[in-house]
Amino acid sequence: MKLEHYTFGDTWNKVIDSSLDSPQTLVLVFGSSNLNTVKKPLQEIQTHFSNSVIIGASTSGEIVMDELKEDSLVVTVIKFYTTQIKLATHPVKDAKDSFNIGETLAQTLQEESLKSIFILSDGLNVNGSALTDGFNSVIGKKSIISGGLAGDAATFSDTWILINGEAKSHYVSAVGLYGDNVHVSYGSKGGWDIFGIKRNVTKSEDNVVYELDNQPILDIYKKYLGEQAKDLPASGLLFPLGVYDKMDNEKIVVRTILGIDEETNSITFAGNIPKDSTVCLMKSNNDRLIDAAHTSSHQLLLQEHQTEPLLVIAISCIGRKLVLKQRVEEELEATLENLPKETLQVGFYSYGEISPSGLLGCDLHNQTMTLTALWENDA
Amino acid sequence: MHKLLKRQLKKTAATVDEKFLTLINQAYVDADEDRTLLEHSLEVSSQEMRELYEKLEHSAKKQLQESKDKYEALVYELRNSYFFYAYDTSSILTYLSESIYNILGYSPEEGLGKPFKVFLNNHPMNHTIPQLAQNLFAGLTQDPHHVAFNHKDGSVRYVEINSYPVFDENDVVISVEGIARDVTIQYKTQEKLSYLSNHDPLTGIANRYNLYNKLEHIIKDSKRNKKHFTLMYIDLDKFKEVNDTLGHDSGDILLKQVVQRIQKEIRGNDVFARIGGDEFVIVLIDINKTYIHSLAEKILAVLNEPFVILNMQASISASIGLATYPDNGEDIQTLLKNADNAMYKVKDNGKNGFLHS
Repeated sequence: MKLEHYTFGDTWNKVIDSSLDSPQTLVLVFGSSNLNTVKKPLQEIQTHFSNSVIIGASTSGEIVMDELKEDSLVVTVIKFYTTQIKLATHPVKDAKDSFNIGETLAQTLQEESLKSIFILSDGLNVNGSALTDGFNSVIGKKSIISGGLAGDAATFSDTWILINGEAKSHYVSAVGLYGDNVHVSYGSKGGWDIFGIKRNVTKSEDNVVYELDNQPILDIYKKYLGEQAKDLPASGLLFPLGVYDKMDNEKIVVRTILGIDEETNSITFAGNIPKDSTVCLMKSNNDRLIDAAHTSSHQLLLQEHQTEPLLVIAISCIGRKLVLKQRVEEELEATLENLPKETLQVGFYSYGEISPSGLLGCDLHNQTMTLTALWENDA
Repeated sequence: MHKLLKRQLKKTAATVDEKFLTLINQAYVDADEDRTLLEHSLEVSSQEMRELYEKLEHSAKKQLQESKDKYEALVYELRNSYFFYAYDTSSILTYLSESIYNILGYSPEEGLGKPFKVFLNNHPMNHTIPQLAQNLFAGLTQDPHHVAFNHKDGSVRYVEINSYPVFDENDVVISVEGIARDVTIQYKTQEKLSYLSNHDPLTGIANRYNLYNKLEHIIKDSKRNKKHFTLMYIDLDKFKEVNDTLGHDSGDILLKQVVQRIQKEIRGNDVFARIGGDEFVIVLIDINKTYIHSLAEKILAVLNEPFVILNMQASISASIGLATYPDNGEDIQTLLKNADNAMYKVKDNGKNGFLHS
């Protein structure tokens, strides 16, 4: 495959070369949630790559190599030699439909030669764990499914997904890669520490939690955040919720905050948190977060990769960015340390990461650095 | 600008690029914010842990006190309900625990060196004890069994004893040890229940259930030993009139007096049962007809005597039917039916008489 990437700040970093445009070209676009910033460059991409499959999402920060970009548009062009590409999209009317949407998209993309699916989803109006469950119900572990939920800086107001060249909220897009020549690998790691006492979820509904140990969850978060409670829901990312696995008490799934409701004293999380779950608050340690990013790139299985161009899509959680602050790029450097020199790393800070996990297929992750490595045998 | 950065710039008089300075300043502010949040959240978490610890401590203390109370209650129960004993192969007591005092009123010293049977009551239930002791001396374990003991105050105590043989290195029984549990209350309750289920609560004589049980045994015994017995079926005449005119309470008093008068005429071991409101049955074993007929006449005579009930006089009589095993029936139903028929014939012939079927 051939790789090219472009960055739009105030202008494009280089002249766009349309020669890679083809039906076997996949264009990945990660950009600012501010439509005024990205509207024009998006149109230009659409014009230059009219025959290609274009997918994209708004972000809470764009990643190019070891740099974090803000209010930009990062475009990656991948022209495959033999790999086939298929795009499927679906509108989201209600987050409760998330499972069915995942199932429908997976059915659309399912074929014998399907190697991998890459998902970009609305970040605020989708129940991420139900969406991945829907994909798993059709695909299971047969193909690698990865991707992420769109971000919007850290305003939690509106995210977009690229649909036919237009930035739209309330959508999920997924692209399937087909053929024996394409290789996909993945890695994902959080690095958060459990903090304080274990608590019982005494009232919740899907991904909305109302009470822990019979106390309103929002009160608990406000108590812990102190002065920073005024910055909720963004500041809630400083203390994600760890959900203990019922079967394996050593395993914890991290769930990040998507929104709060002052009227019902509730918090909406990126994935389901069933009633009677055991949970605990989690806190960060900068060094461990960066170590975890390093570990995620270690998890990539690159033994079969030789000298072909290698794309690594890094999807990291907005919570990590808020915690790491000016040190955030250290985790981008950490992932690259383990990768071949010519690797192109692009990606974004998101409201949820998707990659395979455990026995059942893919899962929604939160507060992780999640990597998808992609290369194609040379022609 | 962050105070520390301001001081550092002042001390060094450094000239720094404005953009670089902004980043450094932001890093100082971020670090302060991080530390403040961490300290605050640690304080909140510590407070929660303290509260949780206090809650757990309180709950643990409460649980400890509860189990202590239960333990003390158990010890009290053990001391007042159990004693331990041991006796040698000559049945001489070699050990008695102090708690024997709480159950039998004796100190251990009063029993040690004496035969085990020194405390035994002559209750029939104790008749199996010599056999049980022999089994234990032969090395056989025994199921728990009930024994009646004499309390020092003269009362009887019922005790469940659980004995087991103790062997020497050659597997020879050298003693018997055991534990005794006071079951007096349970035993008496059981006895009372048994009495209530077998006796007529008004008159205290046997009830129909008891009569049937006894008749089953008597029929078996009579069949085996080729004996005979007679059922005397007594039905009071004019009893309903007494009940209607003087009231039910008076009727009850009359029935008690009837029973007392009849009891004076029969033998202590004759079965005497009340099987209905004013119906009675007497079972007379191995007695000849002549005696039975004269007994029937005596009963009629004593019942003809006026009764004084609550300062009022009442007169009644009785109709008596007789049936003899095996001539008039070989089972309970037939015998009772024939005696009943004979009694009705007396009633039809003017009452106050008897008839042998």
